[in-house]
Amino acid sequence: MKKVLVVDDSPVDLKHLERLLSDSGVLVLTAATGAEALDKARQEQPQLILMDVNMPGLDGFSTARKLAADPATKAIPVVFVTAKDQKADRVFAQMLGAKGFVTKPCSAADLSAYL
Amino acid sequence: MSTPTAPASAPTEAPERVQVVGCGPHLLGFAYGWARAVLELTEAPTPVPNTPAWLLGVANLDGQVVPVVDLAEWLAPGVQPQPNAWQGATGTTWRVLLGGAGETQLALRFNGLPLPLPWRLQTRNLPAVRSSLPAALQPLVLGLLNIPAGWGFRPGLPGLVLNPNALYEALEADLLRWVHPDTLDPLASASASHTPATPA
Repeated sequence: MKKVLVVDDSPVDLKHLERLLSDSGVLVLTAATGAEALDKARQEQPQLILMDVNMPGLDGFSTARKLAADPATKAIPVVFVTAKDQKADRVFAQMLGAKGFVTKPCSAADLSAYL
Repeated sequence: MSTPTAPASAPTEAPERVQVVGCGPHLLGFAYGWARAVLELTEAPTPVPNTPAWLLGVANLDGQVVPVVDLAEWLAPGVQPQPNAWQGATGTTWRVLLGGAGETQLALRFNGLPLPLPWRLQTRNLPAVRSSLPAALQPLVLGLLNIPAGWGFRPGLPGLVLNPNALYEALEADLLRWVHPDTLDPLASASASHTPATPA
């Protein structure tokens, strides 16, 4: 069973993504902050991280950069799932090493490509 | 019984207010409707690799991720001293003007102190001033602004009131020109077609 870490500060969005992924037969781990995501990524070694960008404290871009700098987590692919939809945001995501960019609100079909 | 007398002149429209900041050799004004806050960054922006030098990174401002831009570098690449390296809270910090709303916010790094001023559209000398400006700046200028003496700016230097939406579009267009399209397409196409993106 594929293990996916979902990172989002919005409980509603977190629940929505958790439900979508569970219905697809994915084992879902969740984190509400970037700092929590760093810890869980190191401990749980998920096969994929779905991450929001706008979060208080450690935002998604900073978290991705820290994940990429840590030998224990740098191989885990990150897909941003965010309400940000400017072209510039896609460039930033790409340059920070993201493997994908999905705009909220998203469906199971939007995520299935990465599972 | 006295008759009311007409005012000597019609009441003038109240001036707008603009926030003026120094960016390299330019004094740039932004209407208060766009300019929201002057902030001192307490943490270094997250650098974005392989992007132009004018993009200093992205900063988390109240939970919103906002690009931090050095307009002096954008207008004259390599002419200004390289942006100071971040030295933390005890060293050099970057002061930024945060503007815009929603997903099109910008944080513009500036030098010196911000100067709030009233502004009325003044275009009398605009063509002459505009022609002396860097090409990227010319289409963004809405009008000119007289800067009072005593603010540490070069005497006689006109302030330039900019169209911030046009500025955002110009910066985004420049970023997309600068980044090779092949490195951008996988993400864009992955989102559109639901096919996995290939690593950059």
